[in-house]
Amino acid sequence: MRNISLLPAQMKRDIAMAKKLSMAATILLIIAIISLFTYGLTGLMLLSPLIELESMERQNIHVSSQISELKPLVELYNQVNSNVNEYNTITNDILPANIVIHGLCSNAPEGILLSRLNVGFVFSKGEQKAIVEGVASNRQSLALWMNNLNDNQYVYKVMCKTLEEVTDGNGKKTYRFTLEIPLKEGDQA
Amino acid sequence: MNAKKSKVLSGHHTFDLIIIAVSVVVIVFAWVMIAKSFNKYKSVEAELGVQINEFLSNNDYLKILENLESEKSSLTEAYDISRQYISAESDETGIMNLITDSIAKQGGSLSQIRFDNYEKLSNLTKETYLIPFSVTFTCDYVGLVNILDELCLSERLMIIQNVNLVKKNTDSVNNELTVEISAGTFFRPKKVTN
Repeated sequence: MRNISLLPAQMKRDIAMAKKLSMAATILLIIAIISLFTYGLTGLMLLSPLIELESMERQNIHVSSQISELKPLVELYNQVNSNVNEYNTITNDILPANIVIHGLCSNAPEGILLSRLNVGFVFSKGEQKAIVEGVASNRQSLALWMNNLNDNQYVYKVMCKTLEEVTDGNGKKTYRFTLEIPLKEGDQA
Repeated sequence: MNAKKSKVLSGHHTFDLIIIAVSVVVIVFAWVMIAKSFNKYKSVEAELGVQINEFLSNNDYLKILENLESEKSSLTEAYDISRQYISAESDETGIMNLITDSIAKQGGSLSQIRFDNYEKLSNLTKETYLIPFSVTFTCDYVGLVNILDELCLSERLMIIQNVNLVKKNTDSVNNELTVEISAGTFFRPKKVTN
């Protein structure tokens, strides 16, 4: 059975138009509601990072104030560091005279008599060496001492430059010697 | 009757058109606001990231500072010691007093102290001068070691460049030594401010 409308064509178009308008209005209304809902949701989403940001800013202010309270310590630390660095720069190429001299002289065995000792301690001037002059009552004592000196942490190598046999009026033999002892750099010691 | 129906339809149209217009306005408004919210969200997230990074680095720095705080007394002590390495004055008198006292304490006898011209150090950033000096004295071996100890460990930094010692008599009974020490100490003149 066919559905036949006897209404005038103009009215039929009006009714169709009204239906379309009504549908469009409904769809747009739904979209508007969804949009408003989405807007609401984004607002809620924003709330959490905003709260977190606020709390983080508060914590940062607190930490910054603690840092500024302790800041003078950093200046103190830097000053100490700078002073120590200067100390190291100055003493870098210089051996500790007290330790070196004691190390050279303290382990001489019996029978060794030193008459002269000259020690240079500065590496940059190329003077880091000791010249030792003395008399040994026998060659064994001298050999033993040279051996002891070679074990010294600051001694690079002991070299016997001169060894002269001397006989005194009583016919007693002694040995006059000169040792040259290059020294090691501080950081190698 | 047709006119009446047409009027009803026209009323319907108006109502629908108002809904459509309002909906469009609401949709545009909502999406503009959503876009703004989204941008704000992004900027808040970025700012939060910055704040978190700042917090983490500040917190690490604070921990270092707290460690320093716990060692404040040692740090202050280190500062007090280290600031005396290089004097603000040349103070030759102080050097002479230190040396003469040290030699006298060890029963030695001072022959001479000689100061040479100041030498400007080139390997330091701040203007610093070396005061070279040499000392000649007599004492025994133990005295020499003690004098060297005092000079090497003095509060004011001293460097010993050369030591020359000669035994006065070659017999083993007399232990007196003639010692010549070439050394140096430092000073940093204060900057004159107008």
